[in-house]
Amino acid sequence: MKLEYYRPKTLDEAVNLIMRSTPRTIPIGGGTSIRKPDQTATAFVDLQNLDLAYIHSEGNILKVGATTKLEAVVSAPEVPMGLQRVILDSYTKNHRQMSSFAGALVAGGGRSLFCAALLAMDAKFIWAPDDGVQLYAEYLPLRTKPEKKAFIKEVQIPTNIQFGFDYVARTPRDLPIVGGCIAKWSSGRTRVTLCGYGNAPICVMDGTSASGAVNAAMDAYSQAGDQWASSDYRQEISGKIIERILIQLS
Amino acid sequence: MDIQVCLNGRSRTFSVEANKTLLDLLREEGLFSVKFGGCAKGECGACAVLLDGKSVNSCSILAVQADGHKIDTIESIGQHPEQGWKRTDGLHVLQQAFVEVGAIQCGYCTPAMILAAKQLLDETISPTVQDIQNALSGILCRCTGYVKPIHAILLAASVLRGEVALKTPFQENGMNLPLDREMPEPEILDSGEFLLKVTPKIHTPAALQPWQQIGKPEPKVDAVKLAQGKPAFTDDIVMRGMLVAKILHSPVAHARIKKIDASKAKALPGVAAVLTWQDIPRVVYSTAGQSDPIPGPLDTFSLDSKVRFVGDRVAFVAAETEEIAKEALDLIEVEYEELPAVIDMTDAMKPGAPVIHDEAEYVPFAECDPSMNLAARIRIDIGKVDQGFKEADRIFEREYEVPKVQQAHIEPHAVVTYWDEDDRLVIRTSTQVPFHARRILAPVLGLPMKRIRVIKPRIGGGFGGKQEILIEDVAAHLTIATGRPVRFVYTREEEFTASRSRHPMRIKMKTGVKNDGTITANEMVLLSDTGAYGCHALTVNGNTGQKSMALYVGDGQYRKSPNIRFYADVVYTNTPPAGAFRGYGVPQGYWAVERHMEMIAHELGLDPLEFRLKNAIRPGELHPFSTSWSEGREPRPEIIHTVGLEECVSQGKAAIGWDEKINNPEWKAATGKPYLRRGIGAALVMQGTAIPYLDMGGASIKMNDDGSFNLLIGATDLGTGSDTVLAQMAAEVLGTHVDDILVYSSDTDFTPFDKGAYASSTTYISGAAVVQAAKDVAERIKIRAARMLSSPGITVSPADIVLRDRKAYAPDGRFVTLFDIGHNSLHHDQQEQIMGVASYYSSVAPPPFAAQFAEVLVDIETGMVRVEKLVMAVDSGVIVNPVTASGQIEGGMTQALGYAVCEEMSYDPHGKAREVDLENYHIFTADEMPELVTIFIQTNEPSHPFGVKAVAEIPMDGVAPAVGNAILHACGAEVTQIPATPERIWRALKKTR
Repeated sequence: MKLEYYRPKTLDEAVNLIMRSTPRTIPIGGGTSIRKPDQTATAFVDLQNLDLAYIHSEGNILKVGATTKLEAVVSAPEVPMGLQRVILDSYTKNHRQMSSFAGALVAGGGRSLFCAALLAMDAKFIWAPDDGVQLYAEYLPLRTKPEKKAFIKEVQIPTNIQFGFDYVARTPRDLPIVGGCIAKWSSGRTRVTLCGYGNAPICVMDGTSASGAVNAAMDAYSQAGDQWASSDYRQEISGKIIERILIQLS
Repeated sequence: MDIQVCLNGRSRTFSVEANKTLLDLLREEGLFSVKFGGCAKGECGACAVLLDGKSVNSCSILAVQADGHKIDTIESIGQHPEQGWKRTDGLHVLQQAFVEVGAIQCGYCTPAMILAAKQLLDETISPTVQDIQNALSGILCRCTGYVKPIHAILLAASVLRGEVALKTPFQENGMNLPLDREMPEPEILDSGEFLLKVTPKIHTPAALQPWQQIGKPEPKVDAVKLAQGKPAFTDDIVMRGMLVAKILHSPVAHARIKKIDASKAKALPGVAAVLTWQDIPRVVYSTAGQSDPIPGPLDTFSLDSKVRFVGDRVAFVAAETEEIAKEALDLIEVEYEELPAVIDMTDAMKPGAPVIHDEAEYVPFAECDPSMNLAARIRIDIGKVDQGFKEADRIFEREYEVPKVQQAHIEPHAVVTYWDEDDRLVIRTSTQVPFHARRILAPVLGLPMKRIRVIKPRIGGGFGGKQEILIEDVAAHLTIATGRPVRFVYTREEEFTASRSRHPMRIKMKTGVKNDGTITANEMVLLSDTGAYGCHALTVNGNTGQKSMALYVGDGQYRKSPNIRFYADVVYTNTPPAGAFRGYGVPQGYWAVERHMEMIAHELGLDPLEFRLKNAIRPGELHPFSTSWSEGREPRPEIIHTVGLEECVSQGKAAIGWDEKINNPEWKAATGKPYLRRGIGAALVMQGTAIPYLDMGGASIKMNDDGSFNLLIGATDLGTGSDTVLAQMAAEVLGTHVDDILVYSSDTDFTPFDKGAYASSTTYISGAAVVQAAKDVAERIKIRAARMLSSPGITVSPADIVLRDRKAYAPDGRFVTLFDIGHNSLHHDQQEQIMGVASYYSSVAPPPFAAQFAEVLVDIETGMVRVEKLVMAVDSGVIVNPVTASGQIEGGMTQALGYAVCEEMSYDPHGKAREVDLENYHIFTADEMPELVTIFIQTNEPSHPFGVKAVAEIPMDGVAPAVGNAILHACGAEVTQIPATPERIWRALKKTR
């Protein structure tokens, strides 16, 4: 298959390329998309010249440019340590130096602790061309049939949260069989996510307090059986993991 | 489109298609240090390069993305300092450190590791071990266990900090190590030279003879080229007109091919050939790379009208490019008549089960019966087993299970075939068995053996996976069909779906024991799954019993006449075939035996190690299986002369702190987290060294004008360091240095026969051949030296000549150099070519022994286990090279650790594989490794000139049961199935509550 490749210098140029009706065109920011190639794409628009590699902190919001490499995130002082730890546990050094922040979020599967973390943090995508805002939680269920919105410019993450995570895997660097993440706001709002099963991480609770988090997790994974683990195992362990994270955060 | 990059310091412009990966571009440009690991998602990291100074996987980046960037490969890092009259800056300090420390085994991932390390040291010259583990985290190594690469980087860093100077591999290395020592700290000479190698502790009996070269930690003879990423591997070659091969694999587990139409594929421009079963001769054979006659059924065809597993072969394509070949595969129209499939081994022999091999050409071996899906059957009764059970006070029975696992060598299977100018077919292949490949392929290809030449370049890991004639026939058929060179390299997915693996087994143990711990009878009955073809079915499974059930003979009267039963049924299923994998059936057996022994010791309230040693075989005793079984050939009695097991236990216990931990509840309770428990466990194991009366290796040595020697061997170094060890043996006999032994292996046209690299045989068998050939050469050298040193009135006898330090000494201290002798023999006086040729086969297979220890941390709520430390004390006889030998132990323990906790291949009810990449099939990475400790307990095996036994396979045997026993110690969980996944431990824990 013959592929086209573009490396636009402006956002407008990139938007025009990606928004055209044919050929099917997708943005690329690092190595993630190439690792999981979209078989139907016939044109790539490389975002590397668009100055979208940045990390800014504004108030309680961390703004991470879409093409920021994961390695830059783990070494940036503005980034909460919990998020850095998740990235370090989830990606090898080579992958961190290739994969873009947004690309990793778009491509991550059901066993991605990184995606579960950003889902717990209620991350937002800022889309080109119109700076439209979309919650990551809204994007995930629809990503197999995405709305044509050009490309992600920025990911926004709240920093006024407590964040914790834990996971069970066969080895420390293996993909999680069950993973859990919790983000807690000072208001008491608590978001609980799970990963390890299915096509995407899931948010099992978004409440005004942590009350019910363990049960929510156990309920969410009560039918989560596959070739990697049984549902009764995942159910019990997801509750255990969430319980432990709550203790960490208390 | 055109791209401009700064490639290795030079501005270069390339015209590339947008879909070309950076990896493909770099290899097309001849930068063969950038390796293809077969993966599609950048899992292995062998293709890593520096992009703007950062280590990234070139397989996962489009070449066009690199436009305007700086790319460095290892070709720009350093090179040999002396290139004739030209001098260079020499090797980079990292390359030197990798060579010096012994951080290179197969060398396939070495360039990527060195580049990742270079990035790290460019950023900091004071890295911590954690920094290094992090830097290497994206580069998988299946050989080393990461111990020595990490140490090499620490060494390079200290050189860059100016703390030490590094000895270059091009200087004479005259280091001698003390015999009984640990070397955890660098040794810095007065000159500032850094002489640390990561050598293990070596315990040596005082009586052992000191040698000049044997026992020295020589750098590997191939290390310098591998550190430079030289084009040493099968696929590192470009030939004019070379085609790319691809296989169409079956999407169904069991079917007849009703119709196959390749016309559209053949019509595709750029396609040179498409072959189906209708196009090539129907020759039945076995893909097992073993000696003649193959001890197993002949049940395989290059292409058949029936497919027997998802991934089986349907058609071959050769095309101008990979893309065209892939497109052609999609154009082949196949109509399958699906048949019922057998996926679970327990269903294979049930009445009415589908018959997988119903072909008329099937050639059975021994007790196999394809009508019952039985690929091999073994029934061995030693002594009076039923009587032994009657005499027992207690009978212990339990069932154990082991999974199918993959060799996962980082270099995939690769082959290049072409016709030479004499119309002989040349097969350049990454094989462990070049001579078996030639013999087995000849009838398959319709060629006389003499018209086939097999060349084995360097091998990027094999571990048994390349003891198989797996893909050579594909390229060869296509070369025959097209007349053109053909290249064929497996993808990682093909390695998982269409290669070989370790046999999964279900094993029933029954043991009779007296109350004092004396074993009266021991029985193992196993069901094993060979997959769709029976390659290695009999021999692998025979070894399961022959090695693991031989260790415990019983005590007292039972020691004199042990009662042992071993029964095995090896069945066909519609899954990818099993085959040879390092350990060759023995790790499976030891999971059952050593878990079982632990359970018995606990039940009887005995010390588990004392119980084992009480019943273990001792020096001077008969190998109990030697009168009953020998890989499908006639068995002959064999006495075991050297058993270092007690010392292994003693040293291993001390190293892991056994006595302080085993009954220490405070140690077991990990601090801070109430749900964590520590545990410690052990396992004793024995392996074998070669196959007696069968395995043969040859060696040829010729002396050159300058006193150097060419050592030609058919033995195949697949990264183990065997070329180096054999060179050390030759150097010892010839009184020279390893630098002056030029090793070439192997080429069926030029090197003597060798059975190949398997059965832990090379150091022992091929080594003995090298020693004999060297002795023949030494004898000629001594005769000539005596003549040169004699003069009127002074007669020197050849028998009095001593060869040492590249000289031949007379008793009075006068000498002639090997250089002078070389010149004299070839040019000056009574000219002759000094050379020797020898071969060796053994009447014994002296077993190495080991005590394996493991320390674990178990989460008793989730079942997650972390292995924190592995200690292995090994009796492998005399250690020829402590660096290469300990590298074998470290790498083997790491593979075995994966077997213990995470590696597993499974299939859905339709036979489709769950694991097709190195993401889901997880092998250990640098940043999650436990501490590894290796201890050698030297014994002097009398059947070998230098007292050696095998070292390569035994580290696979004990880790899993030691980990299982440590889990039991930690939390009481009796896990009977590996890998010990969190859920399996969690379920076992539930049973204890």
